[in-house]
Amino acid sequence: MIQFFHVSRKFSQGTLALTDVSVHIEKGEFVFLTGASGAGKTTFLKMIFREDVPTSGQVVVNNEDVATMPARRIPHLRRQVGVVFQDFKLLPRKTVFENVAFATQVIGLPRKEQRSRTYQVLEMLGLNHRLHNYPEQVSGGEQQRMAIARALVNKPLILLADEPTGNLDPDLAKEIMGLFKDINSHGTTIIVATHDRDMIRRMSRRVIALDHGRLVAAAVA
Amino acid sequence: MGGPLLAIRHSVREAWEGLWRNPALSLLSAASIGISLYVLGLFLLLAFNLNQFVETLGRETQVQVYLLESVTRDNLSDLRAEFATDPGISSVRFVTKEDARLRFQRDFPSMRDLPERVGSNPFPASFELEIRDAYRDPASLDRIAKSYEKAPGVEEVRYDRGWTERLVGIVALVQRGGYGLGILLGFAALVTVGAVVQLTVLARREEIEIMKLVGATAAFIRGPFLLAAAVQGLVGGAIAVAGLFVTHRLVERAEVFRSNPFMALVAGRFLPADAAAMLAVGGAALGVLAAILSLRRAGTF
Repeated sequence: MIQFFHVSRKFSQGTLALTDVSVHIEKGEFVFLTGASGAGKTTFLKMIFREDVPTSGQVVVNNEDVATMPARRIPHLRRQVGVVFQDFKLLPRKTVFENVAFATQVIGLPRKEQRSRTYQVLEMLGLNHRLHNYPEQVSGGEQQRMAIARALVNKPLILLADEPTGNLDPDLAKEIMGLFKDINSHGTTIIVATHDRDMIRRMSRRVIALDHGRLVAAAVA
Repeated sequence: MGGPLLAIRHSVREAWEGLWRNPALSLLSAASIGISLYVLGLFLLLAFNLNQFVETLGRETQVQVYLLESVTRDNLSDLRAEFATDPGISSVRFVTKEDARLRFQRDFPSMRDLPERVGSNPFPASFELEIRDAYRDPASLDRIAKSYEKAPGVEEVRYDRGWTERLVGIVALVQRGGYGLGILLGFAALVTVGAVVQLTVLARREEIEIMKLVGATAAFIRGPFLLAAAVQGLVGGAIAVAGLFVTHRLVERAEVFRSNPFMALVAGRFLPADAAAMLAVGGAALGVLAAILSLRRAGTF
């Protein structure tokens, strides 16, 4: 599903975010991406949805070379990849329902389907009592679930989550991870970037460890 | 409802909301386009009417053959005979010195006592030659004029073409000036509308970023901005046409234009409907161009 072939990424100021990373993630796999801050986790994730491109090497997602794909193909790639951002990226002037429905609207789904999908995913994430609240009126955990709902609403093949539990208390973090497991069991490939070692141990899934941009381990924890 | 239709509906709704989200900015865009098109339109209006005036003059082309004080009867009859055989001349009118004086006093009433003050009648007698349509080109007129210049009894030959041509030159100058100023103001409008679009993009950058990340196509993101700019441009164009119409009516009613036949000709008619429509459509095009340039600069294109 996702293949990195000798991927390096050098920023203009000379910093190396990734160095010669080669890794293969199977369809339906649940993978943790770990490493200290600045290890290159976010750059790794960004390459999968073409928010960043390698300086050298190749990133193949669903049999397509992401770096060389024409600009008009990028929206199609992004419809296959749901992303949960570390800072949630919610729109403060839109309600919970509107924030999630927005993702269905921008890909041009028929209105009826926009609504039914949004209700469905919000119910699954336990947010159906918050439909008309604005982000600032809901808790941090609920905001996190809003972000996950938005990433899932277009039924992506791949779900990427960048530090999804970083700002949450342990109970809530556990709840979110349970949710990811559930989503994964339906066939969605999941990559979670985190440096929460306890959580990684508990989940016992494959771990891709990065250190200063280099791959140091790709094994089951 | 299919994808493209939904995208169009989305563009219309978002553009409409965008226009009303900050009405002052929308109005600023429309006004800047309106002002540039208004100025361009003023020059076009002037050039259009001058052109009409030139055409009217062209239809009345005459050649005047002014005669010497010492002209004899024989000279006059020789000239008449020559005129009668000239294929370019359709009719001849003889204007006596007295006729010329009376005409001057009629055309310039404020100077009607000038001949008395000069002491004698200073106006020469002349022949007025009406020229056939086929001979109204500068070369033929020149030939006709030259063939009588040296004839006995003739002092000078003049024809309207000279200043008709000068007027044509003035029309071209007015048109060029209009285009030049229009382009300059159009550029200023581009900058203003572009800045407004950029402000809107900036205000909605979060939304645009999320749209991109969840897989919105570029057309879906740009559509509302382009449509809003087109509407602003169209409104600007309509304001310009309305402004021109009001200006034209005011000028038409002004005393100086009603009492002076030349000025009345210059301010005579309003722009033809297709030219007015072109101004409005030009406004929309200007708006869209500004939006494209601005979105390109903002990295949205």
